[in-house]
Amino acid sequence: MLLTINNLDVTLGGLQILQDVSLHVDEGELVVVVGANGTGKSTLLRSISGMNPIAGGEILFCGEKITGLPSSLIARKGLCMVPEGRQLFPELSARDNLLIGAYPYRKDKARVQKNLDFAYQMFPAIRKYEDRMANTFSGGEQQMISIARGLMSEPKLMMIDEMSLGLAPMIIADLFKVIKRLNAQGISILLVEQNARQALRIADRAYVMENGRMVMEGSGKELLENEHVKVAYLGM
Amino acid sequence: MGVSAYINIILNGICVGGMYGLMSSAFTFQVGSLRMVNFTYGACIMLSMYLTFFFIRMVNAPVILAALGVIVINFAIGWLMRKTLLKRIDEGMNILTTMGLQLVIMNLVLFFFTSYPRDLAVFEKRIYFTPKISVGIIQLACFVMAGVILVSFQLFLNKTWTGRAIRAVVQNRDVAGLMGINSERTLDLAFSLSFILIGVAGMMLMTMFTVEPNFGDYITLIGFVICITAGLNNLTGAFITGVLVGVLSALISGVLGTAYHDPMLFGLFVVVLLVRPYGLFNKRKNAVRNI
Amino acid sequence: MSKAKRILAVLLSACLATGLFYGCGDEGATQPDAANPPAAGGSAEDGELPPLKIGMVTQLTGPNAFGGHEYQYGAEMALEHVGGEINGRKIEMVFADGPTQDATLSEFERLYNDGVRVFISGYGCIADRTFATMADDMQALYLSLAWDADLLQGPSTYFFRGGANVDDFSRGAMMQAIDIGKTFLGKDAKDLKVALLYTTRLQHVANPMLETAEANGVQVVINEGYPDTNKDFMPIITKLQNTDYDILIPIQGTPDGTLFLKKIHELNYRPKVILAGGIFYDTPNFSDLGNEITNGILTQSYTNPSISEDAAPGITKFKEDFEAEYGHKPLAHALQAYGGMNVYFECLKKVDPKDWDDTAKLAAAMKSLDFEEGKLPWYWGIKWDEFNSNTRAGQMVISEWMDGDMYAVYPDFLRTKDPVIPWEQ
Repeated sequence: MLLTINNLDVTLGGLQILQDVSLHVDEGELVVVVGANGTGKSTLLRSISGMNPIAGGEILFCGEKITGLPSSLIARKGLCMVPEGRQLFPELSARDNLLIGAYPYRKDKARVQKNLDFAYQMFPAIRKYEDRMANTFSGGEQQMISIARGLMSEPKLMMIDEMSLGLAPMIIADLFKVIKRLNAQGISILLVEQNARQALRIADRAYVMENGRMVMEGSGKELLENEHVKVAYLGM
Repeated sequence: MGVSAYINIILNGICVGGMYGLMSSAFTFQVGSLRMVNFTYGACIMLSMYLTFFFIRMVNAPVILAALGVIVINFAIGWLMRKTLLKRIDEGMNILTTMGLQLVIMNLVLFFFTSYPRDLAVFEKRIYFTPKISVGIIQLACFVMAGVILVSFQLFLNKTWTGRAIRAVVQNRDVAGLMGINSERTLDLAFSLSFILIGVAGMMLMTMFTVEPNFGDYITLIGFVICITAGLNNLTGAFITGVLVGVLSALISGVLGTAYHDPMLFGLFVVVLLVRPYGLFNKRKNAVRNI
Repeated sequence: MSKAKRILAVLLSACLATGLFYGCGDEGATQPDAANPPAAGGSAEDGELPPLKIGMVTQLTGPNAFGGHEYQYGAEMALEHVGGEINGRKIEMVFADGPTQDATLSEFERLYNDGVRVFISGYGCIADRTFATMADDMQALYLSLAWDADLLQGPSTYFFRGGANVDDFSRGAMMQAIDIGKTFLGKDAKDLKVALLYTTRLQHVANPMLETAEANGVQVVINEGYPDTNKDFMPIITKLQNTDYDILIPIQGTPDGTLFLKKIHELNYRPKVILAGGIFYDTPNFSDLGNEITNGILTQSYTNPSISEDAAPGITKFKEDFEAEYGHKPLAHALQAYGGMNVYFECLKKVDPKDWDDTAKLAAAMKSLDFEEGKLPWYWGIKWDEFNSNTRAGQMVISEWMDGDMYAVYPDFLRTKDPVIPWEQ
């Protein structure tokens, strides 16, 4: 198993955000976590990537305990996070943003170039404007750059936080296609999404989160047919 | 006064302005880019000047060793400050501690060197372009060096991996961590590097002026005025504004008289603030532009 | 947060410690009780009267230490020359270090509490303005050598200002400049052009010069008062180079004066005649700049030891003994202290040594002193006006630097060497 989370408790500002959360991601899987706004999905990813302190439980990545490690160390182990809201480096060029993703192995120029080429292959639109400052791109382009930046770190597992927030439907559709393609290339993905329908369609497995707890688990198809899910999250 | 007299004044103003520019670049980098409150800035420049004096006049070390000594000591001071006083970015606390440290530095210097004004006692030869237009050779060298250093520093920030990392950390510290960058260590390095700039600026200033323990106040004032006028965060802008201030100072003194120097310079500063509060070199929407 | 708090506490303590070390002085000093002053001197031994203590708080450390020490040596020499006693009673000098105004005040209090009732200024007279207001209440006799005429605002019993007057100083300098113009440059006052260059800190020295110039029709073509923080002299020098004038009159302190002189030397620019308004131009820091820079520069001073041998009684003896004892020729400041002490000796001679501890009697004797110029070693006379300002300390001396030494060149009757104006390298 690539990522295992056992009984995770996270408290922020005195409030318990996550309670007894468990999940796992296997190699090659595309796992999705859906839930309404504010249930703690983003907190979950932030806790895994070391940005929040953890009150209880443990997180294992590639068999190694990573609970409580600082985010820069976790990132270097191959666990990459594409944060909510794009969060590019605004005054760095698109290219520089990507290069930052390669920072841990920057000394190996060939490797950097190879990964850069791969990123541009996945997202050809970026290459044309690679020298423009990141904050001059549109929302959808920024999201692509953010994912490309994540790719640069040669992740074993890529965690993506709410990538469809604030974007137009066509762009969202493209993004989901890209995620599917990436997964097909062998990159394991943990995707956290409000947009349940499209997310569940591409998911191998999925979880449903409500009020900081995992309430359901199953394959993507299963959850799409589930009555509760249909009512609460698919608008039916 | 003839045209050549004005050209002479302007040329020398540019050279002095280059010094102001270098020292303001370091200031704007520390306070504007790294967002580290540092009230010891002027005192540190003053300390570098005294150290230069100490190595060259009191220990009689060769210039290269003296320069090395000043740079190494400054780097160490920067590192120490970062590890102890500025460990946390808590603005209120940092203001207090750096203000305290400034007093300590001033009094230590006062104790070891007394308040007697110190001078390198160096006479510089001049290069004559025409019989009436000349520049001091050391001043010119300092100006060129300052420009080179600034350009190199900008290149370092823009083209090297470490420079890129520094800029990333400054722009978004958390996400830089997500990319595998050790943000705290990167900031340590950046802060200490900026102290090297302080050391170099101090060395250059020592070749031109005499120093006393309260020289630092004067430096902080000029540096502050220049950085705000240029727009915080903008290194090249700070350098250019420094040169402008040097030229303007010289012209005001030469044409109107030195009595007008302070009121006019600071008056202009106020005008700039009213018209372009985000600085001369910042675009309006990039009001807090990052490096 | 506790670690940062600890560091902050350590830093603040360090600040306090350095601050205390530097300026707070004697913390135990209480305001002396003016109604019941403790007895002067100590207890009598074998019927012999205890020595009268005369206190001087002067700058023995710090930037003006050289001046402070000159005052100390001058006073010591004066005491030595009278054999340490007047009319059978010994006199003892008590020196204290006052590098700053605060230190001077606290040292004064300490000496007062030790029983000292007779005081003389130290170099720079930095706290004399305060002493002027305190002397009468404390019944302490104070002879000030400060040059601020407005030190005393009203009549006083115990405070005397025996030194020169800054107005006389500056007026004299300008009059002398006019004389130089006539004698050496062949120009009448109305054709004379002067350039005045000074730090605004010394504005009060420049103003009487400006007034005198105007009154005599001299053209002040450059009137450049620069802020004390001015660092770059190029614009000013460029202006000087491009202006037609005859005499440059700089009034500067050490940091600005040094920068200015270095710059004009680097530029190989030599004004025709430089007549400086004393201060920096009288000091060893100036002569350290080297003969190439200092030769030919004229400076207005108080009466100084380089005046002619027969100008004042004992001046030669003073010069020779001083150099023998202290290893260098005395400066004007040494003569100030020497002269001031001699004024005290004249005062003490008029009072029975038994009555010296009655400071009121000493003060009355001081007030009654009357000496013409040329009778005391410092050439000046003594005659107090109704505010206890000396009316006979108006004569100044212009000296010229030649080969590292100062020689008195004006006025004629005090001259030891003929002036060389303008100086040819």
